[in-house]
Amino acid sequence: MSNATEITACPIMQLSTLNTLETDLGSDTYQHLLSLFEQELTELHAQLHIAAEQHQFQDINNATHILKNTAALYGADRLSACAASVYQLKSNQPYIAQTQQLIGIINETLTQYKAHINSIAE
Amino acid sequence: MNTTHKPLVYVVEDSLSSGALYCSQLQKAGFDTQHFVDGYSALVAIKAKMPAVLVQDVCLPDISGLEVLKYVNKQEVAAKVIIITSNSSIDVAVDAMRLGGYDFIEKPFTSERLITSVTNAIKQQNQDLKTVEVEPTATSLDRINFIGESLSMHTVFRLLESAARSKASVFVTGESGTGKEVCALGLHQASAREQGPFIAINCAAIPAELFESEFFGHVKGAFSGALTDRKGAVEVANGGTLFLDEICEMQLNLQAKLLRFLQTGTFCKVGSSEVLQSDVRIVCATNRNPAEEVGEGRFREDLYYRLNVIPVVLPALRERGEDILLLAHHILKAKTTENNKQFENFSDEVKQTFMQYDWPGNIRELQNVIENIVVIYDGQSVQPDMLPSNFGHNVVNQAQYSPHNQMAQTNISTMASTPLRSQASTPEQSSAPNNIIQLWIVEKNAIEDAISQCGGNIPLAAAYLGISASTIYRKMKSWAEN
Repeated sequence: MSNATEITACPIMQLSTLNTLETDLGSDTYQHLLSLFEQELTELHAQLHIAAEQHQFQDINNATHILKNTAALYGADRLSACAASVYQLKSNQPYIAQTQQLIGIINETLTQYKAHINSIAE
Repeated sequence: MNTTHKPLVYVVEDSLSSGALYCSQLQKAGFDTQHFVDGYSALVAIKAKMPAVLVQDVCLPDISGLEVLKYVNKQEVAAKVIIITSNSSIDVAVDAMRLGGYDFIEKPFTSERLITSVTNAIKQQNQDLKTVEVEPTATSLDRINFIGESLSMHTVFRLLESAARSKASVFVTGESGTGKEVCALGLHQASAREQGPFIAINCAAIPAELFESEFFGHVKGAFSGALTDRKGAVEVANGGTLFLDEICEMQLNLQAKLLRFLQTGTFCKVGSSEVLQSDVRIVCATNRNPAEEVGEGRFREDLYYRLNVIPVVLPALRERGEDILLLAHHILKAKTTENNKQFENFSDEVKQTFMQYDWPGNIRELQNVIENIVVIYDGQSVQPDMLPSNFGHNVVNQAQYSPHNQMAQTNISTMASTPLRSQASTPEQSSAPNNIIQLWIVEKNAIEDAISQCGGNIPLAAAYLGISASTIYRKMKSWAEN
């Protein structure tokens, strides 16, 4: 399992991944995909928030299963690492604290990606 | 207006943005795509219109991706299904391949990996459709040059036919001489990769220090003796099939590198950090028991599961009943034509001897025996006195084939499966002349002499001797043990 130091060492937004996406798919598609990613992150953030409050392990597991791969595809490496770490936890392990940390990272990721989306739209 | 028909690909992925990304990458590569975030929506769409390819996540929010796969494969013209999965669900992916999935890709993957897999699936789909249109009764199996009517071979044929339609790794096991390489070549020729190269590597025949270079290639100056850039087997086999014979002889550190290549489809040449890509179908073989090798820690478990997607167990010749005579007649015909002779059949006695014999060397031994007869003798029918002098006296087995021969059965029970060396010692214990050298010593001397003449190069010596290097290694091991 990734420890906290390893997770923090990962960038919130890996620009090289994003640059490759833009080069491969063109600016319009790139912008469209980023907005879908932002939309999905917002939804998963809300789902995780409720699941953590209600201690719904399975819901957390479902959300992190999506997050760990999707975040990696869009260069959100820190989020991907943290989601993978939470995904590996068992229901008898203390998962709420790590889920809260994950929610915090989603917030930071959303902030940076929104700023990036705004900058490329200008 | 562009009227070019683009192949339709359905992407079934529960993540909205991941699915959209895969679709964008595939559209860019020239495919029409549609994205579904759950299994039921995909099933409805499949009912309405079958795509050419289905890129399918295993873990879906409503039904398992395997259910979708099962449904697709029940249809008359089924899409090729590419399973996408994360590390944690690799076992499920293996199950999916056994259910008829075409390929599986582990997340996260590159767009190149996705596009290559979809392109190959389309090629295979087109080939399958062409086969159905042109030869309604022909199957890919007809193109696999295998002879056999026995029940055990029918099971093998069924497996090979399914395997030929997918890109799944195939693990062929069976004793020496049962036709593992023929099986691999047959699979290649029956698959959509037929036009690509077929590269065979004997893992036992390559010295450990050269293996990585043989496998992945090297750049000039990577090590002393690397005077030019050289492509490895993985790169040469791009678009085709890579056959890894005697895979269990591969060292553990190389197994790790092979596993990485299988997971990512990428590799680096020795001495270079440039990441290269190659799309190969892996068929591997061993005469050991791979599960036992895993248990003993000599073979990586994760690699074993990667490779053992479609396990094919080739039966020993002695277990194939009437196939022995079927194969014998086929070989006799071929060798007779090759050598311009007139042989047409075997006498009843010879047939009975063949059926009773244990065939420790399997089909290879049968070939050698028949070739020996055809080259040395003339006639129409193969008679018992034409059989090689050491044939059938010591390792006769299979009492079930000689119900009327009580004498033979007595001999069988005492001599079955006797190792070669103790067989050879039997005449010595009687009153044999002293100047007859035991066959294994003659063979050992011949092999050692060949190795010496080739400056210690075992693969070269093997080539001159007309045997595989692995046979030499096995024999050397047995000499050392004895």
